[in-house]
Amino acid sequence: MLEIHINSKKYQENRVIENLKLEVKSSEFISIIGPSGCGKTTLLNIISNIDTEFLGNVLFDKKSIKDVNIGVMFQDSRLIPWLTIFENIMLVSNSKDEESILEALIEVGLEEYINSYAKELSGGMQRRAALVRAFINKPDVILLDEPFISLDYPTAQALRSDFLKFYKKYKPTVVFITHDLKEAVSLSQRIVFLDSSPMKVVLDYKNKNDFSKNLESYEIEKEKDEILQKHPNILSGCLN
Amino acid sequence: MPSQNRFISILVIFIFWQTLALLINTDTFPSAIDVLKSLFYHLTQGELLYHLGITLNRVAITFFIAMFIGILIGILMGSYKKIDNILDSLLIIALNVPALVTIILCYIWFGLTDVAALLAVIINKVPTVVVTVREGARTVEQKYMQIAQIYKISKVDTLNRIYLPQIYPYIMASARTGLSLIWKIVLVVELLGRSSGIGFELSMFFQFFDITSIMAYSMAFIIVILLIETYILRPLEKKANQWR
Repeated sequence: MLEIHINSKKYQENRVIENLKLEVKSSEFISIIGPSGCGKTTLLNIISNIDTEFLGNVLFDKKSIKDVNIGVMFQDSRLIPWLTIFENIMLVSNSKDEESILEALIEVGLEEYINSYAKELSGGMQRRAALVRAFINKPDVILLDEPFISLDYPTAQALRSDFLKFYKKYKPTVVFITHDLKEAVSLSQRIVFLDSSPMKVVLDYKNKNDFSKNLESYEIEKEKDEILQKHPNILSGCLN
Repeated sequence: MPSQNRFISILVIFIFWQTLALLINTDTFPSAIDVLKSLFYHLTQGELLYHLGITLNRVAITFFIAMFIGILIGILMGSYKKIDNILDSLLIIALNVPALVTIILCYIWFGLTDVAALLAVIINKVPTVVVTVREGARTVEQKYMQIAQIYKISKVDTLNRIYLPQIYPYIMASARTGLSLIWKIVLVVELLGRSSGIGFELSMFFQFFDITSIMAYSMAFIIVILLIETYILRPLEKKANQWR
């Protein structure tokens, strides 16, 4: 279980987060939706232990988060530009097992780009490399900061299905930040809606659909509309 | 072909020099061919190689020490605001003290020794390295440092694979300007207080008004620096920028 307890996080004099309590079961896939500037990225930085200047604690299975294997995917791939794709993944790999890195790269169809630099790859390919990097240590927790945006539709779709493939294989706990309610409904098992200043949970919604449903399917569309109809007031602030 | 262009430009300078010397026709402006002859003489009969070796040795020692100290201070100043604030005024002073003053003071305080000579060169060079490397350290991308943090990459790997590669272009820039600055200062240091090296020889030729030898010695040294630049520094820089 991932337990996020933040008593207070200030940015200069701004109270960004106050008394936030969020618990995510092991292997659960949750989405976080909230208005721009409500502190989602701050929250992710806290969970990933980049930001340690807050009051509270983040635990995974009772262990401090700094001792937990974490994988991340961002809006940009954040591959190190002066390292090849292979070196990028080797650098973060705990086992330094070349074989398993090659296997994972083959699995996402990057076998021809092992020795290429990031800039030689298309946006979609870069993010698939970042996907391999995120999973290479079989992490307990995966954090996603809108990794599927600014890609064309088929590329984003392919990346989503690659992600689900890895997710089902390694079963990490996933915290997924998105602006797209349909994406949240189709991928995750639970959606947490946030509001800002300070950040608070306005709705904690359990998905009806299994995450394997197609993004464009009727069920997803229907569930999305149901959420919007049932909670018109609380949600107006979250989705923009 | 860049090397071809380089050869042509050197050839043009030579022809221009030769014609000018023939036109002026005075003892104080020797022709290119006279200088080449003199260079050949000093190489085969004189002590050019011995003094060249000594000077190059001094250049190498001061270069590596100054680069090491400069990179270290530059990274610290670029990464930590507090250190930057404390050392900044000192840096501005160090940048503006004339090289000649440092050299004279070092000789007076530490005697006419090799240590004093090398120290004077290092003190002159370090501030310029600091300024360039500090600029590099300031441009280090936090997003890549965060990747290192999230994936718990070891300190050594973070330094070698993520941090330093971002500063390499700045280190290379300061190495290239550094080399040309250092050898000029080394010559002055030798001229003022050493009894060996190219600088010392130049002062001897100056006393005998031997302009041809002065130019031959300078030419020898410029050739060596050009070779270092072409076959060591440039390839290194190219390798560091391969991914761009």
